[in-house]
Amino acid sequence: MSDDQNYWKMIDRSKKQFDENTNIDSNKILKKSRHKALTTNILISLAVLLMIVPTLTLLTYFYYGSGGHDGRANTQIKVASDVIEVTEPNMFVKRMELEETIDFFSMDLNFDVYKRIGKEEYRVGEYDIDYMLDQPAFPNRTFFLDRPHPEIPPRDEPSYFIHPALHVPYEFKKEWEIVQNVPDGTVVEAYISFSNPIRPDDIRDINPGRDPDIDFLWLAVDTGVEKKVLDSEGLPVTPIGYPIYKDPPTWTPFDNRQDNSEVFKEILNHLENHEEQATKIARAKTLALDERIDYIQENGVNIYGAVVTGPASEIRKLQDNEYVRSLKVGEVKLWNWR
Amino acid sequence: MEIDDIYKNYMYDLYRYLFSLSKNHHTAEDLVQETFYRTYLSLPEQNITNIKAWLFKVAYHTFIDDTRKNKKQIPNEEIERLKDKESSAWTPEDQVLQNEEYQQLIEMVHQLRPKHQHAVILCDLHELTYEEGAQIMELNINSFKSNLYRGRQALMSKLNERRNQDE
Repeated sequence: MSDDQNYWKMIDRSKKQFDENTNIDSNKILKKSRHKALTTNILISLAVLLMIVPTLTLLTYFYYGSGGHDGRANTQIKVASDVIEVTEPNMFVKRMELEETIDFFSMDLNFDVYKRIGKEEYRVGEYDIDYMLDQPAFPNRTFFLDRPHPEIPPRDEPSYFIHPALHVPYEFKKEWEIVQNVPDGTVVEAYISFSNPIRPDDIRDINPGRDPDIDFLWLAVDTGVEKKVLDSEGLPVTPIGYPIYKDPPTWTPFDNRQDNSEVFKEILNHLENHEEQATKIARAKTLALDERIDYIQENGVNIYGAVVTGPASEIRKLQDNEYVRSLKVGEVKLWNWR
Repeated sequence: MEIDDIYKNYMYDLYRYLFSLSKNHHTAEDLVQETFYRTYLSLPEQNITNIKAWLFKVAYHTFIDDTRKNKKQIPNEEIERLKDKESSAWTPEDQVLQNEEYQQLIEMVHQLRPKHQHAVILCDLHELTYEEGAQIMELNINSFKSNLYRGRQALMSKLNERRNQDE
């Protein structure tokens, strides 16, 4: 027999012998392996499932915390409160008090809005804005006002400030009647429109030496679109302007450290970067920021109307004031003028 | 259940292969189980055409991982070696009853150079083709063939030596 044949025979024989003597339970081994594999799979799936929530939370916080100078969440909060302060006359947000709830890639913003009537601040409404990422939905507004502005701004006609180039609608005659009949011992918030646009510094001429004894709260700025009450695309616009605080609260950008009209321009520029979001939050269908910024750059800041407040008796005096062309009454509150 | 039947067919081959590598019954049995565990985990993702070669490949990697793991436990090394000796120290009854011949064959194979060893184990002891063996050892087919040839020659001469001694 050759070596080769011997070799193969030897291997074959020993293999057979080995297999005969091998005693392994193949069913048990397979069952055990399968069971172990199943357990591993379940544990891995479980771990992945458990990781989903922390991962999403982490990504969400990262998303809102990053982007821009102070993070996306803070940028949106600033946009929302700025747009309310410049488009809602005499209405402001106490920025320290607003609440945000962050969920998976969404943010829920809740805050109160205030008006100053007489010498006191009154809570006049609530806003609830839901954000998906950095896109807000239309806000839910609730106002507690006796004379709220229309929810949808009317086409072609100004509702409270009348630009000098437009004639005063007939209904505005009734407003003086209201002022005449409001009892003494109340304080009145009134929207007054001027005969001619004036510089912000010249508003003091309206009540020289504080006669009548009224406070200016908010100034409506002439931005070119007010003549038609429409923007270049034919959408209705609402007044835009800025507040004046005698004793500015800490949270407002209009803190008198620089001229309020300068701050106003800065805010418009900032809002232009987030115009889509700002328009959603504003009541107007369009803010026409591009058009307005250009106009202000060319013509400077000119005031054509203002929100004033004072005792009913002092507001009545405005009827004979040469600067004041028309007036619309806002809220009336009990005496707090001290 | 089909796949399990296929696995059962190769169970003995795998056991013998892992025994040939580890020379230890318990290790071989554990590794067979570990091998099937790995196949159950990875089977759904892979499109396997040659089940036997694939099983052997998985078994080989299982063995390598196990060896590495045991190497890391340095204080235990001595104990392991003693244990191995114990389990491979066959009582006379065992030698009669059990696979004496294969045991001796494996002892002889393990005297070969490692690469020759593995090639012989794969091709001659477990009937894998050259391609399959080369794939498992991650060699090109020519160097696999030369390893196998040299290993086979060395093993044959050892067998002859022993037969001459016996006679």
